[in-house]
Amino acid sequence: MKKTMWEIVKDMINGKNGSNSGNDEKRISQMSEVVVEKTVNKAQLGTWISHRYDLQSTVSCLGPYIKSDEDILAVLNNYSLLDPDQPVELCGISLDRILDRAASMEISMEPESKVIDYSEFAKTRPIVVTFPSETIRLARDHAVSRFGASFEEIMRTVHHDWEDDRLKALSTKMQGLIKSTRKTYNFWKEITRHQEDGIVYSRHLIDWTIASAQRARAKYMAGLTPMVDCRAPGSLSLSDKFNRVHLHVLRESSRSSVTPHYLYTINLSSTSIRRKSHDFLKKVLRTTRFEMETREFDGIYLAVRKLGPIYNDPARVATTVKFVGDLAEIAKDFRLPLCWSRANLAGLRGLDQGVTTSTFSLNLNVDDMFLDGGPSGEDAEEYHFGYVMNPWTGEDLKRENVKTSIAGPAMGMPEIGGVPNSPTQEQLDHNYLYRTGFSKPYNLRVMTLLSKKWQEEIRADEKEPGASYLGNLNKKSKWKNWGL
Amino acid sequence: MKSLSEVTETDILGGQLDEEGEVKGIRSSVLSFIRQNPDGTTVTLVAKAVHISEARARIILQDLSHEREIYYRRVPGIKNILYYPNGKLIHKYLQETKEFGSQIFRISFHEGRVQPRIQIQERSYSLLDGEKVEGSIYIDYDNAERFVELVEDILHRFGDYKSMRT
Repeated sequence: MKKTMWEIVKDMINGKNGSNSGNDEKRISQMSEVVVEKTVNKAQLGTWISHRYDLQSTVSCLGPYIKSDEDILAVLNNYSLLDPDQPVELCGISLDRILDRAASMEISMEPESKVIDYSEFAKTRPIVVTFPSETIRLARDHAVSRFGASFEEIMRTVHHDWEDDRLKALSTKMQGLIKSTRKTYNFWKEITRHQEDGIVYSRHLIDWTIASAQRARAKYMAGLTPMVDCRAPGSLSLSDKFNRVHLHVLRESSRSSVTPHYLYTINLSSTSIRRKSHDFLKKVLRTTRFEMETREFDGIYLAVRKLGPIYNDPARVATTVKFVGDLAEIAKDFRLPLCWSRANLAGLRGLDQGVTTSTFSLNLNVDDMFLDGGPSGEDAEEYHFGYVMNPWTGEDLKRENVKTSIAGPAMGMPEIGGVPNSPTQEQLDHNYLYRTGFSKPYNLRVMTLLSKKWQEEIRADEKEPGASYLGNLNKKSKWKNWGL
Repeated sequence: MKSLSEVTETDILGGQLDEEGEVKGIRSSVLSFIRQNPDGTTVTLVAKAVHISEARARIILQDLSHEREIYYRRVPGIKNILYYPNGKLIHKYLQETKEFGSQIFRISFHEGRVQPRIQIQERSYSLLDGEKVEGSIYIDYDNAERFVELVEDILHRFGDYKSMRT
């Protein structure tokens, strides 16, 4: 029988494993594990344990992805919709704003408030801080300025003695580099050449990611790594090196502070998901397995940039499902978690394949984040109201569809309990109120219910419940191709 | 410019490799240098050894002192401050952090000159400032049980005091 990680740790201390002390130091880095209690095909139920934080959470569930101050507001105001151990992913690029909003909510909380404060919220659940790599690659104005603001704010905690002007200057230089290297990989090379205060920019960048995760009291983090793309074969090796350096810096920081578990990060470009690139995907899998064999990482994190173009093409969907399944196999072999970021409803198919946790964006977006502006003219007004998910048909509905449903026999969206099934008139008139008070809480509830339903079906020995659900969705649903 | 696959871990970290082939950053280089000089060293020597400015070395030394990785003292007759290593963590297993409401304590075993020492560090967390060290104490391993007895004794006394007051 395989030993648990904790038993391995104890053996190492007692000198039973016969390895040298250098290896002990490395092996002990792996401090999280997945204990499986039930499997149905590749799907699994069990517990995801962090020995460092003495934290246990449920394996195979969907959790929210929080990318903005508005998202954290919607989640903290509706925290009772979540299970106490449900994972939550925070976007590192806008972490300063997310935490500022959480702090202001704490200050304004009344004693009898039903809102939970962030510190309490973060205590019991696996908070995962991650960094969308497309922010660097696409260098959109909004994304770069968000990065700059967060970098400046969080780095204050790393360099306590730096003047504001100095931090601002470094942040501005970083932003300039991102913009001048747009859509190339030159940023990742340039940051190893430029220095500030005798420290290369790449080190500053990694310090920032770790400080961000610590500030958010994250239990897990994924790094800011270059996008892995088959069109740039060197990107895989570079991403691997950035992963190793994140791990090294974390290990160094762990001497003086509590550091989050590090997940081996794969930011995969969706252009790599096609039949022709099978060999490249195999290389990604080989590299990942090799790194897991070092027993230094605490899991695997996968973010596929832009799922949008994939879901209209059944062959690409099949390739994605196969890749996710193979990655889950690797994680399973090492009793480690696999987190699939921002997969939304495709996350259910991921759970079928053995994914430990998958996240969904509260506005249902699966494309690039931090877009500049949005549509103009007549479409703009409707665009800002975003989408609501109909759990029975899998359709993302606009405000006008919601209005139609209110006028229909159901008098609103399907009743799912815990949240109103229709917006108030005030919410229908104001996009901010609509999103924070209606659409995002509703989407949160829908995804949490689907996650629970999936778990119940696995307990009842149903095979691939995610694929069955997706396959039975309405033809208009963009997720139908993900089903069987 | 280098190709993507030519960029090394050392390039990313902007440091050099240590004896074990691990990438070493400036901060850990400073710490290693201090540990190699248990009889104390100065800012100037650190700056020269690690090839950084004295200003930068002073900042890193202050940070390391704050984190209790090292300590400093003024020695009579010597103008400069001398920096000394605190015993390093014996093993990561011998470190535990617990939160009690708003107070966070980290207890760890460190190497001492004569015997192992227990470090009790008080830390605090706020959303605005993140987590920071408030202060710490060291207890020699030989004194640990007596220290625990002392805490129990004073707790007992407080219990008596409270019951007398009521």
